[in-house]
Parts: sequence; C-alpha cells; structure tokens
Amino acid sequence: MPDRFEARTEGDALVVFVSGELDLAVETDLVKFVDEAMQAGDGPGALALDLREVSFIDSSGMRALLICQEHANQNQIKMRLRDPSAPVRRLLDLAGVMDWFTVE
Amino acid sequence: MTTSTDLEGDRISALRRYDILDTPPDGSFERVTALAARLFNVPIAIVSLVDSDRIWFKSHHGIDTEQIDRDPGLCASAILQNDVWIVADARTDPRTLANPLVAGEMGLRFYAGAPLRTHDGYNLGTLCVIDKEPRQVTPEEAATLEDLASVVMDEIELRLSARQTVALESALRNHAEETASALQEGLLPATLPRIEGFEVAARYRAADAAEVGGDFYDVVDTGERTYVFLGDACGKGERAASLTGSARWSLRALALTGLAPSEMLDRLNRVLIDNSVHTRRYCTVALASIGMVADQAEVDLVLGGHPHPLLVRRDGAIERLGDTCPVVGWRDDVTFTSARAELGHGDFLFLFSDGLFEALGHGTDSDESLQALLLECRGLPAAQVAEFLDGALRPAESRDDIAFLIVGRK
Repeated sequence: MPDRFEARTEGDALVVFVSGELDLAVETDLVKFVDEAMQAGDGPGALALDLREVSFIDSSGMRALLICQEHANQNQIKMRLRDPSAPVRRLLDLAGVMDWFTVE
Repeated sequence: MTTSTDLEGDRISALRRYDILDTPPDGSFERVTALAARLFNVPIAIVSLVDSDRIWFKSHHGIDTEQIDRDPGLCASAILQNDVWIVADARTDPRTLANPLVAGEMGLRFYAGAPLRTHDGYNLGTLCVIDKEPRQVTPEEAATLEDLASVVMDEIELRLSARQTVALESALRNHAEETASALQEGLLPATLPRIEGFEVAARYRAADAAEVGGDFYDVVDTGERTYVFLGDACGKGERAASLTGSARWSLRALALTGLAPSEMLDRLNRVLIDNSVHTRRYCTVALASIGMVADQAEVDLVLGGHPHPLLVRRDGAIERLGDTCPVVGWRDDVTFTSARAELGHGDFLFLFSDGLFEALGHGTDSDESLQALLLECRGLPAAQVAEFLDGALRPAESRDDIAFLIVGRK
C-alpha cells in the first residue's frame, strides 16, 4: 500500500492526501493512519483529508471518512474534506451525507 | 520385526503419495537429465521411479523408452542403497554381467545411479547416467550426481506441497461458500409473496460466493398495504450480514405496525444505531409502501442514502423517485422524508443496489445505461424484466453485490 496516504503539515493543520481506491481493502488503514497522525506530538489544530486523487470509493471507504470525522470530533479537532473527486462527491451526495462534512 | 516386504510396501506408498507416475514430460526434469548427460559426457541420463512391477522414467534423455520391467532394471538395485551405485564395466561386474540389458541388444556397459531419497527416507528411484562404453567415476563426479538427484527430489517435494496447498485452499473455500450460502438464506426471502393485481420479481448476485453479501430485500403484504424494500449494508462478511439481518427483520416487523415509510426508517435508524454502537456500521435503504385508494395504486417512498428507484411507465417515460436522505444507522439527528407517486396499469417500480451500475459496465457516474435498458422492458411482466436485466449484467465487472427488485402493476 505504498504512498496511498501521505501526511503534510500546513501551519498548525495536518493535511492527509489520499490517493487511489478507497474501499474495504484500505478502510481500516485510513482510519489508523489518521488516528496516528492526530496522536502525534501535541496533535494538529485542524485536519483536512485531501481527496482529489481518490479514483474510487465504496460504502466501506465512506465509512472510513465518517469514522475519521468522529475520531476528530472526539479529539476536538475540526476535520474538513478538501477537493473531493467526482466519485467521492457522487457517493456522498447519493448517501445524503455531504452536509455532515465541511467541504472546502 | 519389520520385513523387507513391509519396507517395500511403505516405499511404494511413499511413491504413490507424490502422484507422479505417468505424468507428462516436464521441463525441470528434462533440464536435469540433459545437464547430467553433458556433465558425465554420456549418451543417456534418466530420472527413474521404481514402481511395484516396473521402472517408469519421468525423464529420459538419449533413449526413447518410457518404462522397463522392474526385473532386469539396474535402478531397482540402485535404490537398495543410499549412496551412488556404480557399475564401471557391466560385462565384467558379477552383479550385472548376466543382465539382459547388458548381455542383450542394449549393450549397456556403464551405469551410475544416485537414489532419489524422500525427506522421510524412502528411495523412490534414481537419477542415473548410462553409457555403452565402460568408464570410471571419480568421487567428485559421484558427489555431483548426488547433488543433481537432490535437485530432482526437491522438485518432486515442491510439487507435492504445491498440490497440497491448492487442495487445502480449495477445501477452505468450499467451506466458506457453504457457510456464506447458509447465512445468506436467512437474509433473503426464499420466495416473494403473490399480491393481487401486482407482480414482483427480484434477483440477487453475490460478488463472491465465499462471502456473505451486504444486500437485502423483501416484500411484505399486510393485506392493506404492500411494503417493498431493498438495502445495502456497508462492508461484507459476517459483520455486514449481522446488520443486514437486523435491517431486514426490523423492517418486516415495522411493516406490520402500519407506520408510514418515513417513520419506519426513523425507527430502523434508532434500532441500527443501538445495535452497532461498538461496530459503527450503516446501511442504505429504499423503502416503498403501496396502497390502493379506489383504483389508484399509491406509492409512498423513502430513501436512506440509497440510489433513486426508477418508475418505468408503460409508455416508456422513466422517473427517478424519492428525496435523498442520509444513510441509516449512523446518526440519530436525521429526518427521513417520503415522496409519492402513482403506479399505473403496466407501470413498474425498479429498486436496485448500486452494484448494478458497475455490473452494467459503465462506471458509476450516471444511470443512463440502466434507463436505456429499462426502456426496452416497458410494458413487460416483472419476471421478464428480471430475466432481461439478468442477461444484460456483467457481474465480472462488479466487485459489489447486485440486487434488484421489480414491482409491476398488472
């Protein structure tokens, strides 16, 4: 699973770049990656998931996004979705959950 | 006391275990015999396996014969010892001078055979080199022949273990498929009810027979109204199946309460949140209730994060039904709102899971191909629509389960 997730800091915010297929195979990996990124150091002031390079997403991938958001809330970190790709937008719209996320 | 007959019986059992006798020629063994012949500068090299009544050649370089009787065979003698068996000049060697291979047309003079010894100590046969001229073997050459025999034996062992692995995997998969199929039976109705004035048909295809799918559907006729629903639990396997079961049986029970579909989904949402508090899973559902008001068949439909069902009119018009509401079983602060439609004579309602988009082979961005297919089905009975669509699916292109349900009004 090389380079599927990559974390970069921008100011006090942490940006996690996600690429490729976001499905059952990577569901728990993404949650773990984001959890660990949030635990590092004092923890970021904010979290963004950059989803422009996500080529495919299914219900398990969407579940990972929802869980990341819950974990961010539990850590009092504001999470945003940045630039979701067309497949991500389509699924979140279809599932009626787009407005559960802050999208930029 | 162990007799030599017992030992030979065990040796033959060991040989059978490898299931190699009478198998076709094979490059790896051919290369070893060719190499042995070249190294020893002899015309003939053989990988032999000593069966109960014959000596069969897995590879025979420089000779056309595929097997010989066990009786005159030198390999049968060679396997009785654990080091290289050498006959430098068979015509003068008392062990072989009367042997028909030596005295007869074959005219064999030189033989050196290293036993093919299994990991548990049975000599299955030999790697042997043969010449029609006498010659000597140096200790280095004997060691080389033994090394090559080990290479042959490693190859034989490797094949056995590969075959055993495949057999084990196949057994495990069969078991998983049986379990999945038994579980799945609890998640889907065995038959759909007959409903006066309507026809229903459904199809379900699991993406993987060894795994329980996440799709579910059902039809419940309460006498006053008919409830149809189709949903998709996120994920796969047992955890998804547990949610699928809860959703299906909750909706069946809720159908009997006379609640409106939006209220039913609200209840289901709470049930699933309570149910999955430790696992955090959701499902998507399309739920419709159909009731007769005078001669009008009124459809009341609610969507929880699910693709819009399509209403296919007899004249070919197609409508996407329902208002998008969030997925079911994740958050308790959501509201489900229903939409209404009327089902006319010859119209049908089409509910489906999003695996269908992939199986129609056109990506996931629009339902245009689906609508084009449904257009061809206008006016057909539900069973024929199902048959037609089933034929159009390309499940190989879908990694998701596929379910669809058709309710037509006669």
